[in-house]
Amino acid sequence: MNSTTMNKHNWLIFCLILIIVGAGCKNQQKIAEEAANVKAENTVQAKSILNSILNDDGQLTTAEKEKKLREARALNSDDPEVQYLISQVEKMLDREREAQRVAQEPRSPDPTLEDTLSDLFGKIVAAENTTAANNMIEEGLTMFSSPQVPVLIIISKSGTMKDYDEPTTILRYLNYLKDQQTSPNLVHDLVKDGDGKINELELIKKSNR
Amino acid sequence: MHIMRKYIFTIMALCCLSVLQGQDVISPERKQAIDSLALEKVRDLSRYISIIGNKDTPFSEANRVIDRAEELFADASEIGVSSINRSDINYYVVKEYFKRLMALNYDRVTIKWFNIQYISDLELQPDGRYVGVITIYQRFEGITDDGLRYMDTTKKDITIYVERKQTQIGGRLIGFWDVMLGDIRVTETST
Repeated sequence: MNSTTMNKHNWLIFCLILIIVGAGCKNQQKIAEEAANVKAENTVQAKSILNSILNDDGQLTTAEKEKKLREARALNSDDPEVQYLISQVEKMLDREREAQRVAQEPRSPDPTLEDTLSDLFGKIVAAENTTAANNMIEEGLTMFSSPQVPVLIIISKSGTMKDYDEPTTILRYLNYLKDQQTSPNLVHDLVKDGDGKINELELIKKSNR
Repeated sequence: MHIMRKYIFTIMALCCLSVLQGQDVISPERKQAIDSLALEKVRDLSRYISIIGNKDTPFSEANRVIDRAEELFADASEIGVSSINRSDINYYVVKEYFKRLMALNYDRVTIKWFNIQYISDLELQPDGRYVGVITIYQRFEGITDDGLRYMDTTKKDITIYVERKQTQIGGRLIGFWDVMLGDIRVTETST
């Protein structure tokens, strides 16, 4: 084999490599484009599912909404709007579950003050509007010695050691529930005065129970 | 000279000991509860901002919520405001920020915070306070009745201060964790 033939062979091999590498790059580009398309489609689909939950006018049950949320989550979209919609749906479901829990809770013939308080918290959170919530707050305050009754919130408890959030008053706490539309604490302890009205309340974070 | 050195060493050792005694050594569980408490305060603020900005909120309610929101902040804290239409960021003291938010010249305003998380964990400082940074994304949308619409998404960093304090409740001394929000700095603005 002379050197001219060798050079020709080398060129042929070089061209073949170029074609193979070029095709590989094109394939990779195609794969990336397809992945981007799938991601975009998933994002659109997730938004559509989540919006259908948020805009539901009473057709879907909570379980159906939960199922749809799982479907939307399974699409694995990291789009900020999708993440935001997921958080809104979660909040909506939390509120629905809380309202159902309050509605379905078996009523004892003589409910304790603790039960009545827990009911009050749940009702304020699930109130339809500000006026309804304000009425419940006004009614709820009659269980207390005064609107300034101190409320302590335990954030962590280990044996006798308790860590508290900044103390507040019952008036502020009930308004807090109205504003935040979520009830993160449970009744832990309460102190009554001679008239049977609450004059000190201790709550505990649900995560600590 | 030798005796003098001995005295200095003893005084320094005593100083170190008193500093260590002044700082509460807390378990990982308690620290986690404090971390969660600070995150909860940021979520509370998010909801307050949404209520203040909402044009359907009655004036008296908005003012009450402004007071509650203001209480979450350390004195003289500032909040940054950016726009996709300008490069500079304006900073306002908290009260002024909320008043401006309430008076925004739109007919409908929606403000949502999402992806709320620590970017710098709460760390114990020599002064006994814990300091950390929480980042949030804010989606703002303002619409006027004549169809003008402005939307942006901003990334904001919130400095968090946590301090152990005490107060008297019913004659008892109660120790509590005081979470205060500091400046809110805008770090990114996009459409």
